[in-house]
Amino acid sequence: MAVIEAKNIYKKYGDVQVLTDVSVDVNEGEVVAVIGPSGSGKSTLLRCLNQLTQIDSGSIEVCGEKMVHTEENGVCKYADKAKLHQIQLKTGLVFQNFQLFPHFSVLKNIMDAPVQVLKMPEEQVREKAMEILEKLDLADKKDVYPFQLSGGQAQRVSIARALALSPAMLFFDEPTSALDPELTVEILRVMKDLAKDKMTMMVVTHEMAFAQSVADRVIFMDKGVVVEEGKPEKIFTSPDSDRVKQFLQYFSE
Amino acid sequence: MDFSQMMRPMLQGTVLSLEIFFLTILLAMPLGLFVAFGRMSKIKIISVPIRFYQLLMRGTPLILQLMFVFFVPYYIFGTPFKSRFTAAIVAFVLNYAAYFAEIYRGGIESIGPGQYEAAKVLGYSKMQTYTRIIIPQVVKRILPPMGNEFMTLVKDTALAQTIGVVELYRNATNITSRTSSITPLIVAGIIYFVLNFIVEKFFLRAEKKLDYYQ
Repeated sequence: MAVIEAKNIYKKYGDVQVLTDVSVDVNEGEVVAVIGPSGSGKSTLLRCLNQLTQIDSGSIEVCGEKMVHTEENGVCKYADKAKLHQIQLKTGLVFQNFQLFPHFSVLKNIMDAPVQVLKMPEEQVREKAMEILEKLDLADKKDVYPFQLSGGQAQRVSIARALALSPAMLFFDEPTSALDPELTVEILRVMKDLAKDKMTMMVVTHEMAFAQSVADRVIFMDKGVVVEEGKPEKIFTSPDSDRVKQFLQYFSE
Repeated sequence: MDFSQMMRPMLQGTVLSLEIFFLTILLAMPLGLFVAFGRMSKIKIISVPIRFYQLLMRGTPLILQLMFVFFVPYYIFGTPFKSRFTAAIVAFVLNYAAYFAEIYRGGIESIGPGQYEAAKVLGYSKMQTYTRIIIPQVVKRILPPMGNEFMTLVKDTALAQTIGVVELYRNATNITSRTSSITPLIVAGIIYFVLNFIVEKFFLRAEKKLDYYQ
């Protein structure tokens, strides 16, 4: 089953066409890595799929629910507010720079949305939050505040926060770009574990090794279009496109 | 006139000054929030007039504003403000709300877009995003400039005497002119200082209380 089905997405920022006729889908249990040079539109794509940015034209379905579609006459129509909110909760997002809430403790960062947004009973949420923290090796950090965490710990907390809402899938927007190599490994390990647990993920990343070893499928984007898409073995060893070859050269040097 | 005889009107004046102070805080703080959001509105017919109001309040002397608020109703409606005290409160609230709004705006705009985005993807409503995520962080950031404003207000209450509100300063000058002694002025100075000492302590405490996060 497709968790994400996006078709013919166009997006402009001012005069700049950031996405041109981009279509992607993500199936349940699949890990999709989106790679490509800076400014290729990969983060924008992710933001569009997540409702952080509105598309100009195209259609997006999340878990079979219509988030946005474009009518024959070219009018781009989003679903109503209640529906969009419901769709929003189906996916989680992990930011490059964590975006934890600094005034909440680690535990509160994780518990607040389930309690306030989903109106789940606090005790039940606490149990679940502790379970997730345990799993991410953060149980001893539950009462500290974000400024007391290392980058790697902060990113794990932000993953925990996203998981607490039990989303159908997780988006990662360059989750290791703000981390040093050692901490990067720490986060990649967590993501690998999530992949093993069949968590559906779409990861915008510059970590080629991760894309190669963990992703089921790799999407290469450049200048707002999907240049090539396929199994990592194919993309990383014998890509069809010269642009992909050229890009990957930098990483093998 | 002995000391205790002098202190009676001085303390009565202090009570009136404190009334001006607290009423202004109580009314201008929430009004300032509306002004701040109006100022940040993308709708021009809201943001432009509010900017003009703020410019007027910040760009002209408070002492003139007091005069205007007190006398203008007479020219428009033919009757002056019934109570000088009310007129003073109206002027102070209008003036301070303009300043508070700028402090709020600075605080709100200092919170990066990432916090709003994080709240949005977690499903918080706009209202929840403000009340649970943004405002609590803003409070911490605006404490130092708000402390400044509070201390200025304590001293500015003395301006209410220009429209005949007999507060601390007016009482002190009245006694001074009657007795040819500057003691009442010194006492008034000490009272203003002590009040601001308390204000400073209050803000230090509040800052300390919010010290648990960064």
